[in-house]
Amino acid sequence: MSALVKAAILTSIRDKRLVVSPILAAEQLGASSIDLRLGNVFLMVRARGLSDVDPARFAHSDGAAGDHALEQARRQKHERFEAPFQQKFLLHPGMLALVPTLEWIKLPPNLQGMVTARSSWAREGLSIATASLIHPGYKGVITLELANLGQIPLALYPGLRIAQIAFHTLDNDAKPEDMGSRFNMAFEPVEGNVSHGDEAFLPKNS
Amino acid sequence: MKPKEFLLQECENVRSTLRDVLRHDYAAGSSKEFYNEFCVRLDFLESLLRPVDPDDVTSLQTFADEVSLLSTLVHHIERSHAGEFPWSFTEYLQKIAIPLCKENLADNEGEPILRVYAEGGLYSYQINLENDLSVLNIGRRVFTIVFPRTLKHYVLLHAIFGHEIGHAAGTIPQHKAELRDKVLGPLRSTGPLTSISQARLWLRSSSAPAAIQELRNQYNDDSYTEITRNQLDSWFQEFMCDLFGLVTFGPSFLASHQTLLLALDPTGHRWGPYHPPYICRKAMLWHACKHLKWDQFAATANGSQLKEDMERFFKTYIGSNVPGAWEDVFTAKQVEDAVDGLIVFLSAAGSPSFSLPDQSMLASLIEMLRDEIPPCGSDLSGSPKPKNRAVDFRHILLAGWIVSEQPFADAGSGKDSLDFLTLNKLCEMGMLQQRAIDLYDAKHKEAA
Repeated sequence: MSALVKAAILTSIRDKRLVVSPILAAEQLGASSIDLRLGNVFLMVRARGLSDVDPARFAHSDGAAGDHALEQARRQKHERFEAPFQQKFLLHPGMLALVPTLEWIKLPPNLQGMVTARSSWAREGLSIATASLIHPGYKGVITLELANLGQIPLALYPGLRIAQIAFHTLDNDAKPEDMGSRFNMAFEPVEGNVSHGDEAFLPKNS
Repeated sequence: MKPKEFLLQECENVRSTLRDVLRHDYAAGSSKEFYNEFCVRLDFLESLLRPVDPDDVTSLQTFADEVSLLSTLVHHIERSHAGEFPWSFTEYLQKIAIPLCKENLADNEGEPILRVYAEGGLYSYQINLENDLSVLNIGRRVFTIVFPRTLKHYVLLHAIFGHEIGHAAGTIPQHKAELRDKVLGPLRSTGPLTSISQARLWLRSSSAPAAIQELRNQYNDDSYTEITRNQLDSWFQEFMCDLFGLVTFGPSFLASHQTLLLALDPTGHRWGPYHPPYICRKAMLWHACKHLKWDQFAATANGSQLKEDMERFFKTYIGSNVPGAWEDVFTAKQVEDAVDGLIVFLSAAGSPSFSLPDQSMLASLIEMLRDEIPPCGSDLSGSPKPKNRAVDFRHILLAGWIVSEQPFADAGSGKDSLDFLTLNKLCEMGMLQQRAIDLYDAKHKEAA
């Protein structure tokens, strides 16, 4: 496994194996990474929406639309905002926001992506440290989990470069059956399911 | 509480609600403009209402209507959250619609105040321009775009707004006469709909297709064919607005028009007091397409794939369910004159008509969609100095409709099916990315 340098990244794009769209400026292309811009949707945890995040609540339901309690719990967990370009979004200290990238990404079976914060924003307290691994074969926008670790609010505007993605080659192509992801073809952030696959460890009547 | 006191109280209630709606974020249009306009209207209304004699029931009735109108408008604002409609599409739509709804008012440039909201489903598509400025005749008209709430992401269907733009433009007094001469004049000059008596004969004609005869039998009532003058006028408004749709949105309008109208009337032959049969509208649109030479675009397409794609598109939206002689209520010449008149009108108003895309551009947008990439002017060449291109959002719509007919170039590609919703979302995302490209490029051109 090795990281791609700029020339190799551009070759992968030219060969149509890798897609990062759109790249607005040459300045987005780093020595071994591409800067990613903030998209237009913000999913905010709503403090009054849910008493706690308990995986057991979601574990033993088929998620059918008729399950009012489950759907309500899911929907009320977050508040969703859409901000057009040039509109400000304030990320307050301690706040968590799920946001998409502006860019649409398609990874081939032999590449994985690694997303990190841009150091200039990290120095202001912006963290996107979680869930930074993008699996081979992924296509869609990337969801960034933004948190403000500083002590003053950060004003964010859609279109700002806030993250960067580096690419690593894999020893072999990932198998098609291993490349499926619940978040594939994502157009915007969605809430996760923390019980998925772990139902055996969760009580039935929580 | 007496009526006058209650009306004054309701003015306060509207003011309070107006303050409350500022809790939300709004995308298209400025909430500041809307807020200021409403404050002016409320102040003016109250100033007129206070001196009214409490027993003057005629005046009080008028004021009740005015207050009610304001409260309805304020309520719509609450459905105007940025998250309930595709605002990137709306921003592009404004560029076509707003120039058509400007007027020469005394105190300002006459540009309307835009509000957008979402409600309902299939029947909800609307663009409204306040009809009269009422007793408050002091401000700017409110221009409202209504998206169906359930169809938020279906940008391909939203090409139907081209038709709604026609209704809004026709509201402006100075446009009415021009449209009557340039567009309605040619359409009304000859044919079976030139008079009520001829229209009734046409509806009762024995040469009408079987579907019409079945409808007549079904209703078993002459009143069904007793079309009135007002109804006939409404039919012509619909024909004219269809031409607006086609000329402003291009071939995508054909597709959204057919998809939505046939969903509401699968026979395509029903008519209503305000709407002529779909099949007659389609016949007129086909004459217009031929006049604009859009049907020949496929013949000259470079590369067999694009030619094949375009032919498939026109076959689906024109070639299927071909209108017969009875349905063809206008001659080619009538439609040509109406289309030419409309293009002149749009050009004078500063609203851009649709023009066919460069073939390589269209092919590239189609290819992006088939590769499941949002279609826009993004440079995918891997150049170290990417050069993105400007793309008209209507060309993204056209690419979307073309791909909806065959999601993958190779029908046997074995890829997962690209469903209609996903296709719409890709196009919506493409428009959003194109907005970013346009903003970035405009800023850098300015700096250069």
